[in-house]
Amino acid sequence: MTVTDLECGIAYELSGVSRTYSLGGHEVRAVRELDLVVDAGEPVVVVGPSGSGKTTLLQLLGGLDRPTAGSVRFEGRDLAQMRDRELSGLRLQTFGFVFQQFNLIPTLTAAQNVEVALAPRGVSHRRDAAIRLLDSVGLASRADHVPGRLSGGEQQRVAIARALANEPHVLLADEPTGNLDSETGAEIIDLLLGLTGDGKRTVVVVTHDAGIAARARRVIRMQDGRVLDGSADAQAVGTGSRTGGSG
Amino acid sequence: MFYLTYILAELRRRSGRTILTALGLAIGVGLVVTVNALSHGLNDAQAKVLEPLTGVGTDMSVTRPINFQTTSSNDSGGFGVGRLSEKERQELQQENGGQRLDFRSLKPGTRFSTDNFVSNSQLSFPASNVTSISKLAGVSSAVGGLTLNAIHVSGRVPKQTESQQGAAGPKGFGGGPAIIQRSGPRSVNFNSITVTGVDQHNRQLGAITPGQITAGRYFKRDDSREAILDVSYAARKNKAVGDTISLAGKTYTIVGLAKTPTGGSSSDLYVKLSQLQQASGRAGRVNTVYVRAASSRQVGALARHIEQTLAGASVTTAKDLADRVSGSLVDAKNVASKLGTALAVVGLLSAFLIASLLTLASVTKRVRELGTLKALGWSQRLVVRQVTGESLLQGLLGGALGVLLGIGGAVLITALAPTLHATVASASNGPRFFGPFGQGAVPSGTSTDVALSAPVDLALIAAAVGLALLGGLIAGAVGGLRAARLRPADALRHID
Repeated sequence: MTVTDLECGIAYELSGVSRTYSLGGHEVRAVRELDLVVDAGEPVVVVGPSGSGKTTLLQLLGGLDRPTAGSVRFEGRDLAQMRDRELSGLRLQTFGFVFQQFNLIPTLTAAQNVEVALAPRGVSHRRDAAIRLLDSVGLASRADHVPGRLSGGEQQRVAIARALANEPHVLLADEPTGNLDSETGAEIIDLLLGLTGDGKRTVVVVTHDAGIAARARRVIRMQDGRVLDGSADAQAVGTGSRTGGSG
Repeated sequence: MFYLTYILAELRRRSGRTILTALGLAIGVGLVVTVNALSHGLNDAQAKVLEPLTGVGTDMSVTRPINFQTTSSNDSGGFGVGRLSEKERQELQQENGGQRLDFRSLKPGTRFSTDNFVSNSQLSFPASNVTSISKLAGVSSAVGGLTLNAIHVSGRVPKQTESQQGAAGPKGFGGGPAIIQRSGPRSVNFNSITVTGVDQHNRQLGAITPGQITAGRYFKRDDSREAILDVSYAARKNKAVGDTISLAGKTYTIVGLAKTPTGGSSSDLYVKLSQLQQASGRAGRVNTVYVRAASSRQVGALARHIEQTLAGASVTTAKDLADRVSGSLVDAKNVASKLGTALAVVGLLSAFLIASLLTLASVTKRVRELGTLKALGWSQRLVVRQVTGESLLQGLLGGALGVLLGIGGAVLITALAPTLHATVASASNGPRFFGPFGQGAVPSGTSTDVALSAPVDLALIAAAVGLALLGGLIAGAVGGLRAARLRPADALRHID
């Protein structure tokens, strides 16, 4: 983290970021010349229709993908310039991911699924730590159930507990309510947006659900790989949300 | 512990694929175990056939055979009778013609009894050569032996006609006893046995060793007159341990019986070397040296070295004897070594290929799961380790099943115990009456039947499990490489 970023409390600073894929001989520009700043500890919702580049943006933020142009600076470090091993270490120590499909391992219990994120960090008493994390999402009593015996909402809570296992600086959720009914989805969104930990954790939620966007303080709207509007939601309170949407 | 739990959970989840992979490896490994066990069994069978010829622990034997083929193109300075030096002629004459019975000095009707020791095909040489050979580089130990035909003739001097008295019948080669050449009268008893002198001080090497004793015991180290009889000879002569046997006028106590060989015949009688040397008038001489090489790899070179060092020496190795075995035993060995090995190799390679493809398919099916692990911060090494660990465990399972299959195959072979026929050809075209290892006659075309077994030992089991693990490792490496090359973003986009 650079002194400037630290002083300014900036988590992400994206500058001229583009991501292009080659699909069936055609070039697909998932993200185009995107400029964006996300403050540390800020809950952000990214909304847009399918194919607007939301998931690609999330993967760039999480170091799962690299831009084909521009820079993605996280806490002052350019993720595009980091080696795979460094990115892997960053994901292990700093990022937490929540996926639309939950991505739980079906043969492992809820507690063991949380341990998947604890084991590589060499956490001792992993089982106890996993139970505590499940307790924090209200699922301690279901610790020994395999995903197949949990409801969709419960599975997503397990995934959130797993994402919190490394006490991440940034929580990145990709369509976390996509497979849930609206009531459960609302519960999950409340849970996620409440995980900022008094402004210590940045939470970025990607969704196409306009209803969720209405619950967020800052909303970034995307279409065709560009940020349309990244200002603080008109109805939301607070400042500190800055954008550099390029168009 | 967590990683193992995860591995086991994954193997359970994909139990069908796990069983298929393990079975594939098991069949490959089982084939290797069975073919190897069969090969061991065939080697054992051959060793059983050759054991009486080679002697226990003997790598080679050194003799001075007489080559009767005087016109052979290969006869380069050998022992063709025409090429025997005068000294050697005298030596042979002295060895075989020392104790002739001259009837002309006896009155008709007089009782007579004589013993002759004849070496028909081999010249003896000084025992000091044994020491010379034992000092050669690559020789672990060497011991001398003496194998002779003991011919006992007794009866009453016949009343001969003038013409008979005047006839000087042809001598046997080497001056064999003249009386053999004559058409002896019915009142003359003729008895011939093969007898071998054994150095009782060296119990690990020689014509017979303690391991071949089936009844009684081996020779004591002292000079007491002891004899060991070949089992079949003892049965023929109705002799048992504790009985006595007479040789050249001396009485020997039978202290043991030695196992009858299966592929050739041994000597009828074994006595201590020094006593046979004395009885036969060959003090300080032997006609066979049993040699053990320091290393089996040195046998060939050592054999050539000895032949070059000791003039006229002929060295016969166990391999030479193995080459003389024919019959279904050899056919089976050929099949086992060629077809069996090819089958095992193809089976094993197929198993490795199947395991690799199945692991690759498994990784392809788990792309999103592996991508999730990477998203959670699992390092490349950890992901590869997980995939390889699963394959190794499948390999272990396949190895265990394969060993069971292999042992099953071996047990089946042993239970069926197919009988193999082995024929041991004679060593040369000439009238070589003594086996190359100096243990008595090996008639041309001596045949024997051996029951085949397929022994499985721990080393074979360990090797089989190792092969299965190698298969698992290869499959894991293939799958792990695929997993390692997955880009997290692509993997997470993958639809299961």
